[in-house]
Amino acid sequence: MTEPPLLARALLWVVQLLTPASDRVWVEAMRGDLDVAHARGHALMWAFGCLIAAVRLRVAAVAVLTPRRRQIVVLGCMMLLLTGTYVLFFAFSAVRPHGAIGCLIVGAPIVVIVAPLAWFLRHDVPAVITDRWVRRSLLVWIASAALFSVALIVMIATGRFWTTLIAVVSSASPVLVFSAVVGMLAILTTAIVLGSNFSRLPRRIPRMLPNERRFVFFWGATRDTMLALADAGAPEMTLPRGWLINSTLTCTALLIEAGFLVLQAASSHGLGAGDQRASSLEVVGVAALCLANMLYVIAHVRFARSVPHR
Amino acid sequence: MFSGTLYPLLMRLEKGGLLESRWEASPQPNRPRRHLYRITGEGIALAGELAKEASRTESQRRLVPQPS
Repeated sequence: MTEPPLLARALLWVVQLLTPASDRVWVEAMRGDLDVAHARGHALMWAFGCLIAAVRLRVAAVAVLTPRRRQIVVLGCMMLLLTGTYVLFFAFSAVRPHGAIGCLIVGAPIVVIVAPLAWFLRHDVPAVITDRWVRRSLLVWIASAALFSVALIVMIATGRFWTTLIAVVSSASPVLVFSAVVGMLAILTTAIVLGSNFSRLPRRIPRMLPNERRFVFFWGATRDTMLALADAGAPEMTLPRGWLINSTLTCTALLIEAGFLVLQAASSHGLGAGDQRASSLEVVGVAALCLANMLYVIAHVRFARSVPHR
Repeated sequence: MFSGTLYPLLMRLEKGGLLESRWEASPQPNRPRRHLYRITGEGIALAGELAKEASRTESQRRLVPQPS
């Protein structure tokens, strides 16, 4: 009997590293099966499949988390994404990151994406309609908005807001201005929509239940939320709807990625800057961003699947 | 079957008690042990139920008039 190809054995070595300790015994089973794969191509394909299986096991092991830890992981991934964006925007452009525009660009995704996400990850619907939770979460929202407003006011008062705004407008970067305006509008819209709903949330929830699209829009439509909605009596809620959630999240992540790439291109062309060193750093930045996006989507998809089928 | 699909399936079946496995020494010296699988009684019962359900669904599907 011949030895499996070196590449296949190397892949199995990676498999051993990736597989969680509790399932390590299966790596030996994989080795045994690889040993009987005679054709070189077949052995490589088998080893590659084992690698996929190991990744799936590793991701599944991550999903064994309490809701609080899940939230921290998801938010951590999002923070990584935002940090990557921040570096990508400002490291290679003429605009420095100490302006209000930078604050808006970084703040908008936090408020628009992370906050509703955290909201729905943290509270299932029955908890949300409890007054105690509404009050507590409302306080967090008010505190966040207040902090954000104070930062803006300080910047306006010190004159940085206007100088930065004028610098950005005069540097002929319509994409950056557009993104800042859209970010501001998104913050206002979210604040108005959610803010107006807070006081009447307990009354509004029953009417909102049949409209699952609304929850998908807010990113928080994990399967936990869907199950909670079903438990709360949404009659036409059919489970599982994992494909809808997953494709929505994936499309959104891809859209964000596309938007970042457009902004990055505008930054290198419209805002000047960018020497050889910057170009190589940009590649690292884009790679980090893609990785962060990937982690974010995997985390979400995994969490959506972590709830058992009913 | 793709091994990336096969192993997670086997693991789930074993954890669910639908499959049992054992190790066997390789007939060749200095080769890895072999992992052998066997469906349990519970697994056979479930497979029978699922097969019945599948055939019932299929017969119901045939009753529905197909578009010409």
